[in-house]
Amino acid sequence: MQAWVSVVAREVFRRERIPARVRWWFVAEGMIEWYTLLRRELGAHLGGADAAGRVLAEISRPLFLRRHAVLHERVPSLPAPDAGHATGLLMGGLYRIASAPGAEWIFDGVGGAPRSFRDHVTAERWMQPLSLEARWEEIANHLGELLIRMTEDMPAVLPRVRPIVGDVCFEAGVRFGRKIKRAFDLPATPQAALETLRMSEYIFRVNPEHWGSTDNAKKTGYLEGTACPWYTAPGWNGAHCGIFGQFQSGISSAFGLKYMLTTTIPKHGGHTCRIDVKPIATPITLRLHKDAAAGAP
Amino acid sequence: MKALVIAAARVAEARIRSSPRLRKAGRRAMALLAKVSPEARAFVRIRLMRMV
Repeated sequence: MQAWVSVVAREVFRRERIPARVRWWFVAEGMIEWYTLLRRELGAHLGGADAAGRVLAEISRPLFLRRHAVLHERVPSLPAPDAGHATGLLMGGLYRIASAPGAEWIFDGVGGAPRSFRDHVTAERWMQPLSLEARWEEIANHLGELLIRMTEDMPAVLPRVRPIVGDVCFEAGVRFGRKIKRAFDLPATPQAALETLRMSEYIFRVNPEHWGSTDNAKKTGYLEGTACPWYTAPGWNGAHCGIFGQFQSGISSAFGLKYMLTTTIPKHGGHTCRIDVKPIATPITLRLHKDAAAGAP
Repeated sequence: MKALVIAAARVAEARIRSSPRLRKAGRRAMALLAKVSPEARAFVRIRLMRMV
């Protein structure tokens, strides 16, 4: 029998009833973990984690300045974007940086995260007009916009950034899929795979409206939805869908399923994206001809 | 006033999380909690589960 804590947590995810405050915490934690993972994994290609961190902080500067400008337009009481001070304080506050000591490097390109009591008071005062829902939505956008910055700005220092990040996404998906499968004692069915896919999609506001179906007998299923919040961001294209799709591909593989990105808005137009899962084809066992096995010509 | 209280909590949280001794104590507490009951173990698993 499953522990009631697991049952409740799974139901809250399945019904998508996580309070806005917790969604904001989760998305902020998720972004910091994503940055931390990238720093570690890209470090192998960029001469160490510190060097990778510097590159990531540098390419994040236009991302944070752009997002700050978007917020400033919506909430004029916020200070104007400023890479010297204000943007780092605001973004560090939104990322709840106090909960993740050691991750302050993310904001080095925009003046640094809040550190002192005064910094935190300033960041909290600025964030007050932003509802918890708005904070969640804002940070969710950063996931896609960071990928745009990586593919646009990193090839100068890391020419093969796309396949490398795709691999990082796949491995992260495998780990996430296995952990969720074990934590919630999920069976290897398409329904459980899609439920797991939805957990990460929900936190990052992917496919906010979605529908799908599964056939456990045939081990197939599909999930369709109204796209990612960042698909209208400047620079987003089909290649980015393919890179992030690797995370979902990794999750599907943890359930013994093959993932296919069937429809994407950048490639097919419209307003919905669709993914399909089907069983991973069993490899055909090659048998040597008995004569060959016996060493006959 | 609200900003002052939250900021004080943030500074305190950052100090606690930065302290190796307190982090170690926190990990020990979670490990002990996991031994208490299946529910506690489930909580620890879910809480410790990372997004990636």
